[in-house]
Amino acid sequence: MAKTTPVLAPVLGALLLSACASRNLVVVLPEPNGHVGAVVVHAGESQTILNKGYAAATPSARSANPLPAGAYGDTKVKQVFGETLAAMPEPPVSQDLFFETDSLDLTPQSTTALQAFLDKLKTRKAVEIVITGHTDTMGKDDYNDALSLQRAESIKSTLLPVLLKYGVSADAVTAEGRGKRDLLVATPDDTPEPRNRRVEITVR
Amino acid sequence: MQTTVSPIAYHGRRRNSFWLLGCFIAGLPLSAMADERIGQIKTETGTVTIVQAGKTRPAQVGGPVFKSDTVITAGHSSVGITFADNSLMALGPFSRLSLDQFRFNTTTHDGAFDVSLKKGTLAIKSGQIVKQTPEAMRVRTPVAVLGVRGTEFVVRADGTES
Repeated sequence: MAKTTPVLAPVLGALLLSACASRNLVVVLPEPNGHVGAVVVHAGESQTILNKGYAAATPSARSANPLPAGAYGDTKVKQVFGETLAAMPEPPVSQDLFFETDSLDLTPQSTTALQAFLDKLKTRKAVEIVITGHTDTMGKDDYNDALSLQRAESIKSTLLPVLLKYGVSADAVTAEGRGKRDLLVATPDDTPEPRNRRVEITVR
Repeated sequence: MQTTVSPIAYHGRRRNSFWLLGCFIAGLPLSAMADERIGQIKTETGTVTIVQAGKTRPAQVGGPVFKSDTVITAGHSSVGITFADNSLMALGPFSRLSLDQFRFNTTTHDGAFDVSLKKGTLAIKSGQIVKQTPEAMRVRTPVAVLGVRGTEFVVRADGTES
């Protein structure tokens, strides 16, 4: 851009063109936990992969146009996207709850954890609650899917009166079952593991 | 770093128009196809409206968003939305976002999520759909298609190009 011809009109033209082209912009943000995923930009006949914090591209109809590293930092991102990022909803938070053996009673630790978790509801708006059941690796997928959902539904009925007191509306509470897909403790198949038999409560 | 070229842009557009065509051929109103609640409005400033099948409603915190909704912000306005797979989005001023496709299986986390940013600014933090299947979320702009492999990112689309 800086190395265009010294003749005034073409320089102005190039500046104008580049100003227009750079209206289209993609910037990957670094996440607080240090994790950065990736966004693949497909444009025209080309593509570019943005997989570092603040990696950016200015795609046009012709090409994906990755920018050199450092082109978009925190300050520039806030200039362009400040109002947008300020509107971002709070990230969902989750709490695992464990039960006494063969029971739907929470362990004492989980009772305390649930109370602390419910207190977070006071500072959030338009709360949705998701109750997700998990099993250990004993048994088949179908069985565990049904069992985890059943457990989630049962906890939902137990918690509903409490949640209503916190101002959550009944239709904002849903139950889901993940079976053995999301193990807290990795185990081989057919392994009894009490820490995997749990219910996760998420506020969104 | 992968370098496989995926023909997403072409397939995506074609599939979308077939889907629309299908709706009209079947004689079903679009609203009946789209009455599935997929997310909820969590933050709002200024003036934000939502258009579904030609009908406009004001956006409000706690209100639902549905598949095929188009969310529109005025100047000095913004909106934040959470979706059923825990993905998060925010739209800045003078923006227009259509929620083209949302499928999510709460047990397997399989699904697909396509949106189009027609103009303005958008921030996205991807959720469980992308965690389960990288690039199952796609963001179209007038010039590009973004395949999301799990991250937080921001997009600006120049509405004058299309």
